[in-house]
Amino acid sequence: MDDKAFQSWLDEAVKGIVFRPDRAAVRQELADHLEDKSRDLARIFPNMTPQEAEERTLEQMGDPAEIGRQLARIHRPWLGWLWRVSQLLLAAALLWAALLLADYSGYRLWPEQAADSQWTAEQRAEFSQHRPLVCLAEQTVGQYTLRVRSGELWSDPVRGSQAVYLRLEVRADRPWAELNQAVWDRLYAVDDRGNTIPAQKEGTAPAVAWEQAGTGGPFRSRIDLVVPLPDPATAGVTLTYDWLGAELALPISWKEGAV
Amino acid sequence: MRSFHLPRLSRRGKIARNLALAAALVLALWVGTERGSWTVNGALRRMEQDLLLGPGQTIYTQRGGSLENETWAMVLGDSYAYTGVVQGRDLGRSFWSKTASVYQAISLEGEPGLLSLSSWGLLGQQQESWRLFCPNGPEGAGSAVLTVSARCRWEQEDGKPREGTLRFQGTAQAQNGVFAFVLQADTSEEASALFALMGGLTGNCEVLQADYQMDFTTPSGAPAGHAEGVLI
Repeated sequence: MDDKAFQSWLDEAVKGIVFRPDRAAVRQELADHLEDKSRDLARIFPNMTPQEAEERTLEQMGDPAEIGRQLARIHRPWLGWLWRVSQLLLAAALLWAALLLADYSGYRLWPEQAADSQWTAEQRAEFSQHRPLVCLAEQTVGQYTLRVRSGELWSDPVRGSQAVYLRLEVRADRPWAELNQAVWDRLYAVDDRGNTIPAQKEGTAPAVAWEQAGTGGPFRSRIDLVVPLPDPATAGVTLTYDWLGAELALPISWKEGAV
Repeated sequence: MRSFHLPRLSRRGKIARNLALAAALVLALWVGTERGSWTVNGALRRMEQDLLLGPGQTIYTQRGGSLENETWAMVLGDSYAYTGVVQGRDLGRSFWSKTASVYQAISLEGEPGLLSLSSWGLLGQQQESWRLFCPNGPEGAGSAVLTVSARCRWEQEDGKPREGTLRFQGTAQAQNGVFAFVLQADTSEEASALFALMGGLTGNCEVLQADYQMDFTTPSGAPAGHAEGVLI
């Protein structure tokens, strides 16, 4: 539609819309409306000339300045820009996801569940007797809270060996946060007489053996620990980690019985 | 059967929907990439938290290494010091998300110790120089001289090995209580020895034995202490 009267009416009606994409879209919609109305009038009044139909159309549409003020109130510029920004952000996020998933094989949304208890079962199988324990221990260090609620006392009268198995629950303030592996590698145990429990094999790391045992949700992870007990009279240990001045000392005492 | 139509959203509704979807997507990607930090310092502080250590102060960083997006750093804490590396995760052409690991660490309570900034991977980009730090010099020390002696064996072109002893020396002034030494290689022989000292295995030099000594002086030039140790 290139009629000058229509064009100047449209210019007046949309000039209050600051956000350019909105202005163009509204202008097109109004232009379509004007054209439809003009065509309808020409159809209803066949004797009417096209010029008369257009003039009548503009009369019926109303004052373009008033319409412009109402349109400007509806089409706020900041809303338009915010809409554009939200589209760009979503597009950027989708693009990043596409690149990431195409290129990164280690992606995982949910923490993996470790094979439950296979390591523990292998450790357990080395002892012939297993007695359930009730344990109480809890300590908060930094943003982590460590808790022990249960365990087992394993013994082998033939070999004269004994160990305590503990299920440690670690809670974090941040979702999916985990203690660094170095903490478990450097964890050692002191028995209730103050003796550091030595490694069972010469040249190996501290005595405490550990394995990740899955998660209990985004804020919780589980670690299985096996601590050898050279002294059969031991009724408690303190799990200690003090690398570079860190201060974790978790005293754990136990008594036999089911949880 | 009625067909189901999603309600038509207003402009504000569409904005809210787009922002919520973008935020959810970014969160899912961040979680799925194991919650990497956005910055080098962020990655180091997070690693310290996960090691149950108090927050440290990043004293020195240097980019580069055998992998393109590594940053090596020296960090000083209240009771510890370490050198470590922060690696940008390769996330679809690399986007933020960095994770840190410790390279060498010492407690500040012991004798003056020595930390190497990095392994051999940084050597090429440093143009045959090796940066080391002493984070716990004696109290009152204002400067220090580090001397490294290395007994080396080189493989010559005729296949016969040749042995010799090289000495590297660096001086440093105390800054924030830390002495930063740079040992420089001036010849190709020294460069191959530095490479081997930093753990490189593919050069033509084998370090048979290496030890160091540090001599500290006060700002007025009086002796302030001495430390020595074995590197290899």
